[in-house]
Amino acid sequence: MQKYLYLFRGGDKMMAAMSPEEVEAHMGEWRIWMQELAEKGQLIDGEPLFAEGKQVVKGGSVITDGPFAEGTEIVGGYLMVNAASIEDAVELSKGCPILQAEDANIEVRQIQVLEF
Amino acid sequence: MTTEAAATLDHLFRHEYGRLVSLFTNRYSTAMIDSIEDAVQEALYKAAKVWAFKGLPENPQAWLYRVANNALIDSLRKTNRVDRLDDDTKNQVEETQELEFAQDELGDEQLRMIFACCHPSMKLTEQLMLSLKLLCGLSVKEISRALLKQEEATKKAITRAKKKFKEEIGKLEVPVGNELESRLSAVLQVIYLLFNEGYKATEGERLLRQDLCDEAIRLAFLLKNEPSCDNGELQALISMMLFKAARFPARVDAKGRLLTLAEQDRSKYDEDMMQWGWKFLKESSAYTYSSIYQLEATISCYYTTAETYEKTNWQSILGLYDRLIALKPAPVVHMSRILVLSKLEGAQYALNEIEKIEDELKGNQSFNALKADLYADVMDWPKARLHLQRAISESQNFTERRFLQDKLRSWVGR
Repeated sequence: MQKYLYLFRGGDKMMAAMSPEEVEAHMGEWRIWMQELAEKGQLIDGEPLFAEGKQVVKGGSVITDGPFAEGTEIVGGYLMVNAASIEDAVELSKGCPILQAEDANIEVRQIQVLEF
Repeated sequence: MTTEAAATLDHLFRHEYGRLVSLFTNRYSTAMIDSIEDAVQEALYKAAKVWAFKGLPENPQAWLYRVANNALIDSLRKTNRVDRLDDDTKNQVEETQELEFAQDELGDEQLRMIFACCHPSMKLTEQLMLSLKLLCGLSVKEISRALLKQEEATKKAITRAKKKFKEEIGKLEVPVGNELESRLSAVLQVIYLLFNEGYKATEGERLLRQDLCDEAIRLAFLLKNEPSCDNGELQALISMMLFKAARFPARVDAKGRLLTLAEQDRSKYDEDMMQWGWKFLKESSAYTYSSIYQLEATISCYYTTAETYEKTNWQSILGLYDRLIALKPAPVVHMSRILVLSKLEGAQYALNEIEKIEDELKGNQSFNALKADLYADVMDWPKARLHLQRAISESQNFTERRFLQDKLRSWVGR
């Protein structure tokens, strides 16, 4: 088993246009998807992120607000999962409800674990 | 669609939307409704993101309240609206910023909101749509689908209603004294219409429409909690809704097709709802006058509680319709009465009766369908088919058309 990181981007526009009932249903889909991952022992951790933040640059001498990029460029949340391979991790990510939004994407990255 | 997961929350988001919008409108002003709706929407959407990852917090309502309150204050600050508010409201905004969520504050403001949404400055359909939007948390799209209206037209009607809501109401209150009676009867009319819209026979959006019925019952119970509103008409209206809603589990077959009253499996009727229907009907009869709602509740009671369709007490129902017509001479009442008459006196007698009031009924959508059934009963198949064809060409929605076409197919060759 290897560890992988999902970075979620986009999807905000779709959710902002939903009715309360649809928001609730969408949340339900997320919970079911995550529950399945947890039951298979593949879910490690994950959190959503606020859109606002700070950027620390130039050795810490400059701190800027941001990133104020377009919605589809902001990381809206992350998830860490166990998977047998990158292909397996990609396959697993396809069930994520965020992909119902046209502007949403998931970046899948393997987490480097140094073994001694 | 994750019905199971959504069902466990039991429309939490939709109902919280209505509660929070009512709460903030009550605290501030109807003029701020757009900012309020945006803030509540934002809170729900933030909640969904966090709760999807971490599960529901211990007190979801308090969580939503805090996030919505902060979003509202932020948006007022951004537009400098806080400065332009009068001092009283301004103090309220500042004071309530850190205020903990008070559970017992809920309830009362929703009641006030019902009266605001059914304000006499608005037309009946506007009152209905605004109630669905602000109190029941339905989106414009859902409202248009539930009421079988164009989305654009629905949007315009809601915008018109909101304009009046902002300009003519201001502060929410439950009317008192002489005004209460007329305002309350307007509210009951909206609830009645809301229920009947949901009860109308269509299949496609069945779940959404059944929700309308649930919402109508929910709003009626909000009124029931307020002693000044709890009168015989309200009790009768609740009773009527419960007797009709008791039939929901039996209304469609396994394929999702609508079943007529005669075809329904009565063992599937909801026993609890019928018991509650009884209770409220009895309560309402403590009032000396008999209202339209009371007559309709009693009729629904006879239809729903009959052991079988054939054993329905047509004689008593006919008497009730006779009294109802005197109070409410609507085409739909006339036609229901004719149908009952055909059970008692035969279809030929009913056909003779219908001729007398044909001019009044002609424009009605279901008139030809009723006539077709009566001609079928007396085996006058050519006339029966002719009227059924007319009914098909007049039918307004897919479900009704399919229902009538199926019937016509079964009459071919007779």
